Formats: sequence, C-alpha cells, structure tokens
Amino acid sequence: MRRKKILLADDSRTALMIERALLVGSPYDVIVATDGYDAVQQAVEASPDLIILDVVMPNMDGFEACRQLRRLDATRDTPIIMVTTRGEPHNVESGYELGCNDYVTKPINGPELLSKVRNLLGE
Amino acid sequence: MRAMDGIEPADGVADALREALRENERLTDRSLAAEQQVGDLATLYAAVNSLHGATDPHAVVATVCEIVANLVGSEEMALFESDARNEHIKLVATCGVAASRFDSLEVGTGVIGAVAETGRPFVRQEGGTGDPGSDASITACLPLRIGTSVAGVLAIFRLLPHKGTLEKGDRDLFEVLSAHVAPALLFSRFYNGGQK
Repeated sequence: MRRKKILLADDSRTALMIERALLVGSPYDVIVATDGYDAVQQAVEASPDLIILDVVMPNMDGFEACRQLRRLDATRDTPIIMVTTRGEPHNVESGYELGCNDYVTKPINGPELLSKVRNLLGE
Repeated sequence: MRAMDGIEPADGVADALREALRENERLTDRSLAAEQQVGDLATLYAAVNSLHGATDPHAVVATVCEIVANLVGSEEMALFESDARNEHIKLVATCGVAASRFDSLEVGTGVIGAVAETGRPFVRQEGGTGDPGSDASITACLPLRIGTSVAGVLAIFRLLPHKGTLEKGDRDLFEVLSAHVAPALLFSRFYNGGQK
C-alpha cells in the first residue's frame, strides 16, 4: 500500500520538529516547507495527501498560501489543517472561509493532531 | 444486550461480545495514553534539540521565545542572567513584554528576584493574569541552572487564552528549560568566541 505523504509548512524549527516527531511514528512520509511560498510550490510538485499549514510564516502567510492552494487544480481538493497560535474565532473563521478543512492551535496537542490527520485521510 | 433483528444472542455469545467491547475500550484508552506520551516526549525532544542546535546567543534567545510560544503557549517572556556571585540580575531579552518593566530588578525582591536568590521555581498552575510583566502575570518563573548554580531566570507571563491551564507535560518542559537554557547560552558564547 502506498504510504501517504504529508506536507508540513512552518517557519518555526521547534514546531516543525515536534510535528515531524509526531508524524514519523505513524505510517506517513513527511516533507517540509518553511514559508507559504515554499509550501505552495512543494504542494504542486509533490502532491501531498494532506497539508498542515501554519498561519504565521514569512514571505507568504498561511492564509494566503491556503487561498492559492485552493485556486490551483493540483491542490484544490487536498485536505488542509491550519495551525494557529491563537484560537480566536475570527482566525478560525478566516481559515475556513479560505478553504481549510480543520485547524489546531499551538501548543500542538499530539493526539488531537493525529486524530484530525487520520480523519481527513479517511483512516 | 440489545436484540438484533428480533434475535436474542445466546448467553455465551452475549458475554463474549460484552468482554470484547470492554477490551476494545481498554485498548482505545491505552492507545490514547500512549499517543499523549509520545506527544509529551516529542515536545521535550524538540525543546532540547532546538536549544542545543542554536550556535549563537541571539539564536538561543530566539529559540527560547519559540519554545515558550509553540510548546508552552505564551507570547510573553523575559530572560535574565545572574552575575557570578548571584548578587545582581540583568535582563537579556524579552518577548511580548516591555523591557522597561525590569529596570530596577534586584535579587531577592519580587517573584523573579526570589527565584534568582533561592533557585526554586515558581509555577502558577492556572496561569498568570494582570499587567504583562507584573508579578501577578507570571505563570512560571524558572531558575536557569548550570550544574547546581543559578545562572539566570526565565519568566513566562500570561498564557494564550485558549491554553487554559498548565498540564503535566508543561512541568516536564519547565525542567528541561531549567536545565538546558543556560548551558546552551554559555556554549553559544564559547563557540562564537572560538570562531572569532
């Protein structure tokens, strides 16, 4: 069976490390982007099964990256989980309006993230 | 046991089914607990690895800010260093709090000064409230150790609103910060001095 591929986009080395550590123990291949622009490019090139997108990133933030990913044929239907530092409703609503499927707040809760990942991957 | 399609399962089958459901529940709980543990360990791994991966003092301070924001859930912190005799305490960096709040800080005075003096951590389970930078707003104030000496203090102020309260994993993380921030800072200075 093909291993599913997850794209992690975050400019924080610490956040990437923890997300990777959580996901590599599961049957997923993980690729990494460190800003929104890089995330869009990698998503188009690598066709991940799911994208985990931080909101606050340099060059292009997570909201804009989400907007662009939804406009592209290659990534229009790829599930996106937004990662926000603040869980305020307006942040969450903005994410959903731009087409994200779910969101988690930092600090990341391991079981919560894994459960959302499995859910969106239909596992 | 609910009858299915009007057929009542035989006693033995019903008991076996009940036991299987209980076993399923137990395994689900154990799996969730294991995932939580993996999450907590991943947090500690990420904290230690990031701290010791930073090779200049500014990067160490930036990493501490990142850890506090991403792993603890606060965007307000201040980092202090003590002198060799632990008589004076000096502000090194702040995130999300005005540096001027700490102009007249003394060892032995206030929460930060007391932690610098005694080396005992101060932790407020429900998180700090009030003016950012005030004693009331402190969630955790940690001695930064090198061996058994206190080399500085890390003050973490208000938690992000969605964080709620501190959890067990946060306390483990505080121990890691207490033990690793000062050595990481010291190493980065030696490393940079050596490079120059």
